[in-house]
Amino acid sequence: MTYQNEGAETTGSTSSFEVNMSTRYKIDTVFKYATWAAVVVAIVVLVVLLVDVAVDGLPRLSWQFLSSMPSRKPEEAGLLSALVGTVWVMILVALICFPIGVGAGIFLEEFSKDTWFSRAIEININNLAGVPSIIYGLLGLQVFVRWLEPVTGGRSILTGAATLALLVLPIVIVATRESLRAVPDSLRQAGFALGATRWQVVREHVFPLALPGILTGTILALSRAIGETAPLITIGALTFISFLPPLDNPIEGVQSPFTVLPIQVYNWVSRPQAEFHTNAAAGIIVLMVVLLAMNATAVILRNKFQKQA
Amino acid sequence: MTSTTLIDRDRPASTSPEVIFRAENICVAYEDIPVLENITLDIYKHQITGFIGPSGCGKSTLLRCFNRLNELVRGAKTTGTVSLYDRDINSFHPVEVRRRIGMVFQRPNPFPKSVYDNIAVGLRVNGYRGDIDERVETALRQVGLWNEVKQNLKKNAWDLSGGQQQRLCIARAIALQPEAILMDEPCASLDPISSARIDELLCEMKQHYTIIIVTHNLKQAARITDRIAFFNVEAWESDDRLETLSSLTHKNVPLGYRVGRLIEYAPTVEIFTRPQHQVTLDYLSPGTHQHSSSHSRDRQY
Ligand SMILES: Nc1ncnc2c1ncn2[C@@H]1O[C@H](COP(=O)(O)OP(=O)(O)OP(=O)(O)O)[C@@H](O)[C@H]1O
Ligand SMILES: [Mg+2]
Repeated sequence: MTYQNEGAETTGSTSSFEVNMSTRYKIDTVFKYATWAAVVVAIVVLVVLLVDVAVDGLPRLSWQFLSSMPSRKPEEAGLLSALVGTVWVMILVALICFPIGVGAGIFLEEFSKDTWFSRAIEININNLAGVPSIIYGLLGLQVFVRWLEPVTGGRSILTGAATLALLVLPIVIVATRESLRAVPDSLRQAGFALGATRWQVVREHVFPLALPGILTGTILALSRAIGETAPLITIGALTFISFLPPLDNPIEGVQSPFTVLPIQVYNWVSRPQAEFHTNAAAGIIVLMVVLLAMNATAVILRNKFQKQA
Repeated sequence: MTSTTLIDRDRPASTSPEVIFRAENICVAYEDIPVLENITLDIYKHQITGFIGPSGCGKSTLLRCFNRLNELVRGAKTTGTVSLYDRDINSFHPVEVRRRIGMVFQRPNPFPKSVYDNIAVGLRVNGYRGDIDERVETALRQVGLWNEVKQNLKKNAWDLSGGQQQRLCIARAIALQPEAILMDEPCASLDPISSARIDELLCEMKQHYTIIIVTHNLKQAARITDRIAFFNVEAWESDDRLETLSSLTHKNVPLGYRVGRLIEYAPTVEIFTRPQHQVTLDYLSPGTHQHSSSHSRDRQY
């Protein structure tokens, strides 16, 4: 009733509305520049960082740098073993954490009943995402290096990948759940109303729609994994590797010792010679290129699935 | 207006039509708040049963009880039983129930797939062995959508207009040839011509299927339904606190809280010509309140 009365009053005149708009426009403008400034700060920091690294490292980048093993002489040293190690580890991390993470996410979101148990799991997974990475290193050391040595081969690529996969699993699970939750419930109901089983509904209708979001989450997770150093040092990734894992025998390959780019960079930075610092800068560039390539692949994949959906 | 159009349907077609659904003491609560109380009614085979009533009285909720879709709604709790041919539907596998009982939703919800796939996917998940192309075409023709989409069956269904989407959803449901179809305001977003087409379709389908339809369009209800159930929202009174409800909700629902009830259920012609309750009369002819001296039990509206 009150509402109607007010409405009746205001129909004749505009007196109950603010006529002077200039203050609102001003606030609008101020806010626009404030957000713009925030962007500038972020970009400037990034650009300074990139320029600094590029100035130091670009001249050092060469085919020789990419194709040589580490060496005690800085001008002969390369990062082939670290680059190959990173690629191996990333592929394995993706292979391990995608099915497990997505599977767990689907179970929690689509299949599990809303009980105290599933809520407890949910809280735990969210907390896991915040556990310091060194803890995962310790876990990996105990579980994969010591207990599962017959399988993993000790301080191997597989151990490193499994440890990193555990580290980023919560990210994948949370991202999966978020994207599943974003799929409108009306589609599930439509699927069920046609007599589809839960699995059919998930496979036919829900998962394809959630896939782009799931892939984005997985990219984020892998990007985090690729830069991790601490847990790998904890499980005992070596810093000086002068051989490559054998390609012809994948089992032996994943069981061989390894190093990765961030460890190599870290190792070079901690040397006293300035030439090694140049190597480190070049290594950072390579790491970033790998990261960008990986993200680009995933973005392409995502766009492809988005079009299909 | 209605009495003239309905002269020949004073009684249900056969003297004792077979009961397909029997709902007994259905109560539904969402998040411990009851919205439907003690609904008991029989749905007859090969008839069109209309659910009418004001917005929010729980028509969609009740409809979802018939194909066990409510159990998928978060926070929903249902008591009472619905039986399909005298067998409790809870004793079936839910997938079988939903396979046999189709549903069209209040808001069009096509899958973000091609027009063709929207219909084909339902056939495929149910292991249809026949010619899928043919069934797709028949279903689209039945809802009068074929001519609009036949050029481009690959078009994404989300790019169709709202009314086209709704007709696609109807086609999707009837393509499975269910025994019964639950329709939640299927014509709400349709133009008069499409709507008339659907009405015609429903009357044809009545030969082989049972249809429950929720509608706010009283003309449509009068035109196509055989029986009508009128629901209304009413305030809780103290003597309404039945044991069935205490098993449904833990919350102490305040007096005066509004809950949906079945007011009247009768053949369409009876509802329109001789409603037993004042509220029904008021709902059917809003704005005319001069009937208060009639035989109704005068519930609070
Ligand atoms: N998922 C839900 N969670 C909580 N409350 C709900 C939910 N669905 C429906 N309700 C409530 O239940 C009551 C009945 O809703 P319902 O959709 O069944 O009404 P309706 O009769 O179909 O209305 P309309 O004619 O507007 O479609 C409403 O008060 C609504 O707020
Ligand atoms: Mg409704």
